[in-house]
Amino acid sequence: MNICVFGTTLQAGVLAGLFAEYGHHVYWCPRVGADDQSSVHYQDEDLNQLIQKQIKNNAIQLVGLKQLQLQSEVFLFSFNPSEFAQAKHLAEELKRFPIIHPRLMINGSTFGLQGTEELKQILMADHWAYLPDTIQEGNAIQSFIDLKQVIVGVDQSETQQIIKELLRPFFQLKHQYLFMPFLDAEFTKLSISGMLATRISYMNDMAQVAEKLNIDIHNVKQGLASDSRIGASYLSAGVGFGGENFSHDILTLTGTVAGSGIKSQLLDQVWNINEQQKEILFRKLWNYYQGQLTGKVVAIWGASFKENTSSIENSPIHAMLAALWAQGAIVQLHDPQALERVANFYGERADLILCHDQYQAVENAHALCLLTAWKQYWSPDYSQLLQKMAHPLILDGRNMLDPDFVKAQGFAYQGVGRV
Amino acid sequence: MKNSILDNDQREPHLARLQNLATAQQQLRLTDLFEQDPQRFDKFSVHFNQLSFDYSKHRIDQNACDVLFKFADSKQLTQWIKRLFTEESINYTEDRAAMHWALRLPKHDQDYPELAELVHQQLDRMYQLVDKVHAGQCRGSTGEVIQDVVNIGVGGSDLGPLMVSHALSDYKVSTAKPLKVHFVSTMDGSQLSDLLHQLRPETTLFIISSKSFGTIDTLSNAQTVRQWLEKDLGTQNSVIQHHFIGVSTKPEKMTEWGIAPENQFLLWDWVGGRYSLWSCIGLPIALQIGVDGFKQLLAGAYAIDQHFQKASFEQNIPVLMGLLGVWNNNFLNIQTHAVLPYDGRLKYFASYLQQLEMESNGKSIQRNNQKVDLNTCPIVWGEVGPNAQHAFYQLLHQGTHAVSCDFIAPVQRYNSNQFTYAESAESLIEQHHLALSNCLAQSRLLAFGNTALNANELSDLPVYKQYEGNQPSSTLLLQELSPYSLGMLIALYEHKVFVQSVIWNINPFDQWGVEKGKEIANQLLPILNGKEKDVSQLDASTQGLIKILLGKE
Repeated sequence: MNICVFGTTLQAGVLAGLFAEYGHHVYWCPRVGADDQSSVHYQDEDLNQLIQKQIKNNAIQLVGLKQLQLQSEVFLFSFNPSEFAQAKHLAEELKRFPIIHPRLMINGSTFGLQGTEELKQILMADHWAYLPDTIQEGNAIQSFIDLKQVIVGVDQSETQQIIKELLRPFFQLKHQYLFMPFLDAEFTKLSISGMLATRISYMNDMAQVAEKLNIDIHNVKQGLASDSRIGASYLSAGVGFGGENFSHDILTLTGTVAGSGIKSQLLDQVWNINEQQKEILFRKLWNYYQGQLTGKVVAIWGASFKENTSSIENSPIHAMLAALWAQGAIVQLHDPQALERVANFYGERADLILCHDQYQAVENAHALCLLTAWKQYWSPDYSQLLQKMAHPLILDGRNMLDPDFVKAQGFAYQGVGRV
Repeated sequence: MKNSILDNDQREPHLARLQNLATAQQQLRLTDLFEQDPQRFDKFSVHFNQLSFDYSKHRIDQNACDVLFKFADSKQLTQWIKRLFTEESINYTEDRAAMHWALRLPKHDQDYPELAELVHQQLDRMYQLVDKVHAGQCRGSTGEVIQDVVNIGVGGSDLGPLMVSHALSDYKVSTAKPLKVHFVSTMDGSQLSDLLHQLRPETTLFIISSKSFGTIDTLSNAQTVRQWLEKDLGTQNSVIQHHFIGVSTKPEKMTEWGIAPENQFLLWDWVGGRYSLWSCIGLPIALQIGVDGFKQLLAGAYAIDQHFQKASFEQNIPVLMGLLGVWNNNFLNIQTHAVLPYDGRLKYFASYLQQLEMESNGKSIQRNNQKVDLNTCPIVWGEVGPNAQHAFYQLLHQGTHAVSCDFIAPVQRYNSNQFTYAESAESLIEQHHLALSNCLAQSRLLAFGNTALNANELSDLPVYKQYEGNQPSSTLLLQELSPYSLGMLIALYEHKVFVQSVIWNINPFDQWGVEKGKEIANQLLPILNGKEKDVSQLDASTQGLIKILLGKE
């Protein structure tokens, strides 16, 4: 088949690569509206290799809107949640093109409830499907291929047949398809994010209790994970979740619930716990220094909302900076990738010192806060830290370090929910 | 003392003339006055800035006004206004100036640069704190964000902030985290007992607001919350440091109590408690309406300060309000004055005015230490108008008391798309029109009685359904109730009180009548605590009551 893919999301990359690998011909237009198209670079090296290979094989062609293969059987809309206007614009453009309808239009973007229906209203003559974006960062290709079941929103039975044909290389069994109406599938997608967020907030809530009762949350986490009904993922206490899409999902879901007139307190709580959690290291610092933080130098390692990305969207760094600055503390910040974004966001200021060397950041510091679990932070050079810091205090927001070992090196140490 | 027609003092020709006029006026009815002069509204109303003051429904004519102005001249009102706006100790019984006007000076005032600097130094510190609280960066001892602020104060440290916070509830600013402001005043702890169980010590900040930092009501409440906090958070210094703000003239007493220097906000002896909401005593107001809102409140009051000093008597609203009160009280024998706002947000305005007017002018000794020769402050009372219509309006319309009234209403309401009411604005505006029509109807009926009714309706009306009328009233319209216009409104009444104090030659800035009771209470407390047994010095009534209180009877 000829398939047109639109957008820069991880889903766009994964599906373009996989479709091409399995014999389809993919016309990929990452940035609608741009004349010159270039490939998207992802944090995932496996994915980048797959895409490059298919471009070389000529199975993926990067095209602008004007060079689209209008004979294509499938058009995939794979945009970020904030790009709804772009998606609608694209649909309008396609309507003007001499395409023979009906074709299969797939919306893979998370545009909240009714997003797919709205797009369909523009291109009424086509078959429409909604394919929720469940691709996981860091494990992009496998997270799609390994799906036990794929959720697809459809409103006609003919659409089901075309979808099955399209995804046949990956899902060969009948029961691997879970068809449901658009709206149900859209709500399911949001509910998944809501459930994952709830797990994290639950663990963070438990971690606070654990701290008070002298219980190590790390043991609790492992115990929970050993229960097959629960599983191991999304059980880490820490400084909270962030990122653009995940946070966006939770807010959309909260808004949807509130708009329905149902008073659900759970999601508000999940969100509030997470917001609280983003400044938990600040509160630990505040307690340690009895509220006297004026003029203290605080080193922070990590600004991106998670490792392997430069995105600082909804990252705990913002809550930390605001809180520390309000008390008159000076922040020395290191991050392997996100410093430039931080600099653009906050501009030049005397109480923010950006350091390209992680050990430069701890010079004369009264505390070191670990905010992102970048690999290079897992085994710090303790003797260098001891030598450079003004006071040996480590606050570990991702529970990366071994408390006993760190303490044995002569540090005061606090994790999240650790004893 | 006689009430209205006092001994004719030959040295006071204006007084005598006013008395004669009043006797004549008793015969004249408001209905007649309006019939005689169709231009009456234009002649007897003043418009200034966002305010319109209609006093045409008072039982006066041009002649009476002129003599009242001359009477005021004979009491040297112009000179007294000038003296108010100086650093002179016009509060002579306490040897203090009365400079509440200085609290609303612009930051870079040309006339009083040093005062302005002194005042703004404290205000700026308060603004910083307010911004910090609003940003969600004011923290309790555990590092959690402050979300409840409790103002502990009584009298001027309670009523003013409470009244204004309530009145400006539509101007509540949105904050990073939800923020609630509470007020606690009564010495018996009833508000605290209801409040504390709803609050978390970790996220609660207390303002101890006491000019002298010695008021027992406030300190006893403060002591209770201190123990409540320490029980949960521990007794270390950082608990007091992060959960208490002090506002007082006495830094050393605040320090002694444990309030950290950076949490101490100062006012000065030259601010009377009931005139102090413009200072850092107004912190709860600023927390509610934000720094910009608070600045607007001050700006509105400053505009009235200027008006009061510069406008001629004929155009000077506080002077007119004061003199009309004197006319009604001293010459027309109307001894109570009702304040009737047609806006539920002004719920506490009447209680606020009770303190402002009755504590200021409830005096009977002149500045020359002689007994006064005119009656002083009338009984001030009131309630939100539409509610009072179902309570005491019956007495206003058909009772035997003569009462003068102030009707107060905003012209516009529900017009600024505030999040609190935006969704129902349309039907709420309808309700506002309903309130306005009631406001006008009541002042009409009070003034004109039966003649406000239809002629055909009147013909066979039984006497018990008839209305006497002739009750005078003022109507004050504000363009809208905003921080600015409320600042104007409060300052109007402050200066009205001052005008009357000048006419009566009394000191409106002391309150010796409320001091002694506190002392006697201090003598009785040990008896009730069981530390003192001897009650023989007390009167028989008090002895009997003490027996019951101690459970011995």
